[in-house]
Amino acid sequence: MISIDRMKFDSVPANLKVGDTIRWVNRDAVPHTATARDRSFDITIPGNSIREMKILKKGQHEFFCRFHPAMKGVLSAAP
Amino acid sequence: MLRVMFLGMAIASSSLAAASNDNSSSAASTQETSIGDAEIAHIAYTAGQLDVVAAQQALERSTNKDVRAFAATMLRDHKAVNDLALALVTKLGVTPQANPVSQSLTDEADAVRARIAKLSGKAFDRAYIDREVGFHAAVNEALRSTLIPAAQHPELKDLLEQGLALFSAHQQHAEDLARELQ
Ligand SMILES: [Cu+2]
Repeated sequence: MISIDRMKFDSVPANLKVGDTIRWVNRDAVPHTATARDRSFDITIPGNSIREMKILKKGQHEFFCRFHPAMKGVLSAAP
Repeated sequence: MLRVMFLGMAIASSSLAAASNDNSSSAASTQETSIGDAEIAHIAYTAGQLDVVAAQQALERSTNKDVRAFAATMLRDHKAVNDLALALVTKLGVTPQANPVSQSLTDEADAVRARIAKLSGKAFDRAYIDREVGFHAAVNEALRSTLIPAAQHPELKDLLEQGLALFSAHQQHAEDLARELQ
C-alpha cells in the first residue's frame, strides 16, 4: 500500500517484486496520478479513493503525479 | 501584484479585529468585523471559485500545453475542494457569509480577468501564470496567518489545512511555470 496524503506520496514498501499488487490510497480530496517516468505504469487515483495496480516491470521506477509534478517517489521491483 | 498584497493586508487587519473581538468575550457584539467560520468558509469558497473562473479563461485563450495542463489542474482541484467545502458547511449548519475580504478578492479577480482578456499568446500565458503565483501566495498567506488560526470548527480547520497543502503545491507549480515562460 502506498498512501497519498496532503500532496505527498508516503514511503514505498521495500522488497517489492514483479507481479505484486500496489494499492494506491488517496486520502486527498483531489485526484492524483502515479506515473512512472519510464511509463511502465500510469494510474489515476480519484480523490478519497483506492486503486490497485500490478507491477509489470522490474527495476527502479521513478514516478510522479502528472497533475502535481512536485509530487514524486521511487518504486523498486525485483524480477 | 501590489493589489494582491493589499488584499493580504485587508485579511490581516480583519483578523486583528477578530482577535480583539475574541478577547472581549462573546457577550456583546462590537462594531468591528469579526471573522467567524461563516466568513472563513465564504472567503475560502470564493477564492476557489475565482481560480476556477481564471482557469476557464486560460483554457479558452491559451494554446501552451503546460499552461493548459496547469489550468486544467486548477479547475479539477478547486472544484473538488469546493464541493467538499460545500458538503462540510451543509453538514455543520454553517451558512457562508459574504464579507469585505471575499468581496475584494472578487473585485481584484474581475479586474485582472478583464485586463488579461485583451492579451494573447505568450503575453497572456505570462499574465495568467503571474496572476496564479500572486493569487495562491496571497491566499496561502491568509490561510496560514489568519483563516486557519481563526477557524473554530475542527473539521473546517482540517479542510483549510488540506487546502493550504494543496494550494502550496499549486503555488510552486505556478512558480516553476513562470520561470519556464521567462
Ligand atoms: Cu497530484
